[in-house]
Amino acid sequence: MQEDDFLNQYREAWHQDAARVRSEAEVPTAELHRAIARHERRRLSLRIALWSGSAAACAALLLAVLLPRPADVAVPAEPLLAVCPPPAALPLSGDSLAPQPASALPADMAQAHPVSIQPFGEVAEAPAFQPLEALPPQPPLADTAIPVLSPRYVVTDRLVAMGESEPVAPRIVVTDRLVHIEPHTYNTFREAVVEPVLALVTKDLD
Amino acid sequence: MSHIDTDKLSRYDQLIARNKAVMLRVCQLYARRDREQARDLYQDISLRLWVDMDTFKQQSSEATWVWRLAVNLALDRRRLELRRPEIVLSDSLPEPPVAEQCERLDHLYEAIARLPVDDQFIVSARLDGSSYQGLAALTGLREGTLRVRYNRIVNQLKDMLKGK
Repeated sequence: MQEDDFLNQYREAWHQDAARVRSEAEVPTAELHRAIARHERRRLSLRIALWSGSAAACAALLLAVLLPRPADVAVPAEPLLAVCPPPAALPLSGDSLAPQPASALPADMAQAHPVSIQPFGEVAEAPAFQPLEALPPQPPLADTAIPVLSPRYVVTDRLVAMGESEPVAPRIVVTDRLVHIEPHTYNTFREAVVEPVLALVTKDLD
Repeated sequence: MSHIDTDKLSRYDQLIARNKAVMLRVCQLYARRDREQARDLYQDISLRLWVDMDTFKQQSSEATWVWRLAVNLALDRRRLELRRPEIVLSDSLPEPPVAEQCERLDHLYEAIARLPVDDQFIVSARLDGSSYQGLAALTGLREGTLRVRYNRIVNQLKDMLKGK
């Protein structure tokens, strides 16, 4: 046929190429089965990680909703780091960088709740939570969002410490309660806590 | 392998056995230059068939469905490769001499790759030696329809390959 005459000039080269590709490209059935097994294991692990991450986020949200909030606690509008006034406001004597004894501080500041940000990996043994009655009146709680200082920490009365950024097993220390969490802050919590954990877990699977 | 459905695995093995020639033809058209790429493409197609095999709705023939799935995968891989920066190992390596027959075959492959996906299937199957009867069974098309269509495809290839 005319059309076959045209393609006939290519047939021999085509067949040689086909034989070569067949010998190079074909993967034995056993190897295909192993690839499928790996794929199924990875899919299962990812599902478990997603469920675990979702469960952790739901548990944290549930804690925030169910645990009682102290009615007389006022949360400052500024980040908790600003609870202590800037150093210039403190009475200074001698070396201005030296820590001041509690007796040198104004009486109201002695009651202030110190927030310490520990180097990554250490969770501070924070002092017992004290009501912030000594502070001047603050805006109502509903208008205040708890900021996220960095992707690694969620600020509460204690700290939630994230796992390492290097691929080690993630470690999460959850505080006994969250002071306050709003819907938009929950999204920040999700970005700060849930998603990095998922990324670490799936990275370990690769 | 205990977490894998053995019935599904058995059906999968049969699917691969029926369509191996189709998969290898796609590797020949889209990854013939690089042995590793051809092998990777074959494995990718196989894995995609595992994932999608239960979604085949039988609106086309099985061979056509496998062909389309495999070609789409090959085109996706090609698009990804185009986006990756090219790593030049050495400027001083000479270009290997290309045999005339090899070059003519390259032009044929390029021309075939420019055809619609289903036409690629028909012409590559005919080049492989499939009869119209066999092709009709594979595609679900009538023999008469296939002859007319094949004639049109060859004329298109002739136009594309004019002077090459």
